[in-house]
Amino acid sequence: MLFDTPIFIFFLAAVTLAYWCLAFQQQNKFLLVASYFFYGWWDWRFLCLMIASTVIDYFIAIKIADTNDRRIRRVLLILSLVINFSILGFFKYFNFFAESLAAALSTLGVHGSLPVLRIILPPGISFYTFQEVAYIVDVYSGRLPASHSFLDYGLFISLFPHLIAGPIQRPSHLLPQVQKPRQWNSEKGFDGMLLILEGLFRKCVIADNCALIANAAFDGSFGKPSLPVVLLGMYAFAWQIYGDFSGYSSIARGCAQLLGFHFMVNFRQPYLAETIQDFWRRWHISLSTWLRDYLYIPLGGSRHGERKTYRNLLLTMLLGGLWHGANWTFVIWGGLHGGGLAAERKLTHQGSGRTGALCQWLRRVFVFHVVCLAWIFFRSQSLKAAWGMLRGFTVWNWRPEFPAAFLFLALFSVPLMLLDLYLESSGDEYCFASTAVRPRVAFGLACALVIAFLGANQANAFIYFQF
Amino acid sequence: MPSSTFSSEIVEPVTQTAARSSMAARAGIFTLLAGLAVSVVGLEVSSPRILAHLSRTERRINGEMGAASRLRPITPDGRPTVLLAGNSLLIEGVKMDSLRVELGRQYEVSRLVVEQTHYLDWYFGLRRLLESGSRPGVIVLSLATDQLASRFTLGESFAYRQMSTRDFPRVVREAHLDRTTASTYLFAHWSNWQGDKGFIRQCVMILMIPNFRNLGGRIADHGPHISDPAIILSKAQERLPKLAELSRNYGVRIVLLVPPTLHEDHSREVQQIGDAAGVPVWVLSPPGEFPREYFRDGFHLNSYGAAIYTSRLSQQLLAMPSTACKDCDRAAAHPRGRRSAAGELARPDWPKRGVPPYVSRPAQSRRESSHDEIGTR
Repeated sequence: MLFDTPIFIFFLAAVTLAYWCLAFQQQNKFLLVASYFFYGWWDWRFLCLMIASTVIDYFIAIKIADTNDRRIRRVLLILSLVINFSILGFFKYFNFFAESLAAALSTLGVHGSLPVLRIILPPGISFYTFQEVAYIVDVYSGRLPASHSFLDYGLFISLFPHLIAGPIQRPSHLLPQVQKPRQWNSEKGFDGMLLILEGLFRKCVIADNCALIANAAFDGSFGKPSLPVVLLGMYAFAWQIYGDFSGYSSIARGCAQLLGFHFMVNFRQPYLAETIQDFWRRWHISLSTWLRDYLYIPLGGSRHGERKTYRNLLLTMLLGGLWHGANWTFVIWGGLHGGGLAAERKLTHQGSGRTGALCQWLRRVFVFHVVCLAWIFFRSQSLKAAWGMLRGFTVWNWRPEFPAAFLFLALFSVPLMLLDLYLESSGDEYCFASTAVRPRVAFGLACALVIAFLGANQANAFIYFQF
Repeated sequence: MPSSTFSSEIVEPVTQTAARSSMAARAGIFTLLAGLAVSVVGLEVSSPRILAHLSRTERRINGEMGAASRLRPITPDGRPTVLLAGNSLLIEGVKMDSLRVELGRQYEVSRLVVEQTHYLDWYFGLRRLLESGSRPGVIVLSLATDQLASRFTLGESFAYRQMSTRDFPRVVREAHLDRTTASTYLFAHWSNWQGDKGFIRQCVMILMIPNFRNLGGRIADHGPHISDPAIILSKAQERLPKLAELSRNYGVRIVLLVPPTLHEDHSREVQQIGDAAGVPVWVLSPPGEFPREYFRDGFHLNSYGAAIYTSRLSQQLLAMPSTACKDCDRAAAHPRGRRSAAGELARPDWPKRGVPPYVSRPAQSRRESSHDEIGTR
């Protein structure tokens, strides 16, 4: 069930209405069933996998909490990590590693066929695996008591608004909300509805329209890569992925608010970042903070000297890139960001940057373009295709449809840019969040009408669903 | 030090403010929901009018659909009716005015074109048309071989215009729809707005962006191009018998017309499969015969190519057996088509091997081409 389809709107309306008619424990039971239905809608076999994974971690966490033997606790932690990452690795990376190994052996002169399986990636597996790992690590380190209610833990993992593409919820943030009774709050409900409308605007109007240009540029419909084609593809994909994922996150947060939950903010105007580090404080915040807390800091963070700090940064971003998908393009994308973070750290140590509005905007433009360049690897189907696009920077070829394409792209990217500038200056989470009710209603209705007339008629799944 | 009175004075306004804020939010929710409901109803009611007002294409499709649904096998003056159905390859490849002039005495020719459509759009579209009572004498369905093999449809617009409620489960199976897409098709089938919104957006874009038509052709998602002959032929083997069955069930002759292409499209093999299945496949120009100069963009014919192609089509129609529609009246009278007295489905009278004049040998094609003054280009 995709968030931008009519069936989901009906599902959400029915679940919300029924949910608020129930008592607290019934609410949780009902939400768990609804969330499993939402997930099983794709394929019930994936649901079995998710339930099995949830059950295993639920019992391991209880065992960890119940024992004081450090060695046993450690063994249980490792067991959980091995199980979780084995499931993720098998479904997501088996073919990637098999093919990469075959290619490596082939270059060494060893030819042979390694088994390649036809595996369908279960939706959201990367997201719920990370959430389960966070829970186990928190219980192991004593930051969080283990949940003794499968209902609560199961709902924490599977709550449908975040199940498929996050935001990756921290156990310490969401689990207590699941465990406590919730009451209807009209203001939060109203905010939730506006967040959903704003999210749909970002997805259906911005992302799906920019996707048309990005797909045409990357798939060759505009001809071989040349400077205009690469610029069109690069900028269009930058706004597509931002609109798509931030739209998804807004809808997820809005749905959660309608049900009385609060999800962490996942995007804060990332293209207004002044450094790469700043970008990662604004982009996919739930993932970047997860990587920081559960990978970068356990690796040693910045505590063991400059060289190890750079190594940790690079390793974290490479693994972060690989988390997105089983392709070397994602590894390169992560590597570029890791390299950028390391370089920035080195340069910042040598001297602080200049201040002033012009310098600030120059830094923003520079960082935006570094991020855009990295998106070329992220979007390309293969490294060869990415290099092909990069070589296009040196080729000039103009076609009569390019002015319309640039105008089309501007039409659908500038509104999001302006929205970000407004949000940056106001500090609001969404447009007109701190104003009176009337402008907010007007904003919601305007979003709905723009979606109705300009929403692209694309059956595009959210990009992050595949991760 | 604040007194108890002071404390209560502080608390009360805060509570009141919270209550006011909550009431305002509740009012906001109701207003927003009411506004959304009004917008949905307004769009649902007005979208067909908006679209008809904005789009010439929409007016054309509506007009052609209306005319097609009223077709009977024979006109009051005794001429058999022919319905040409297809996509943009047909609308740009066949000059209807010329065709009507050339065939006027012998046939009443109508056209039904919906752009960006493939086999499934037309298989189910023709089923819906025939179910609604339309009975053309002959249906000439124009599809390229890769479109015959495609599993794509025009999406929500297809579900709205061409899919019947009864066919929904079959559409889900044959188009391999997942549950979410299937549910979207079902909503679109019943909703004017869902069905029309793609076209309305296109019209808005044309109004907003100069030269959007050219850009639209580049950025439209046509689905992956199928060039693997194994897929094309296996799909032809699966689908041409279904067209033959449709033809038998409704007593309407269905012919597959394969438009000219620059490259090999395996139409000759498809033609053999069609012969075996009982669906004539007309290949009036073998692949690669028409030079690039006859095409506007490598796929659609230009005016010159269309003139030659139209002439060939009219000759092919004129050469069609005169017994083509002898049972059409009986077929039209039957609600589900033509059945024998015993209730069994009757076979069409189409000759087992209806050989079009231009397909036997490439040499013959070239000779006929020169007859059409191809050499004068």
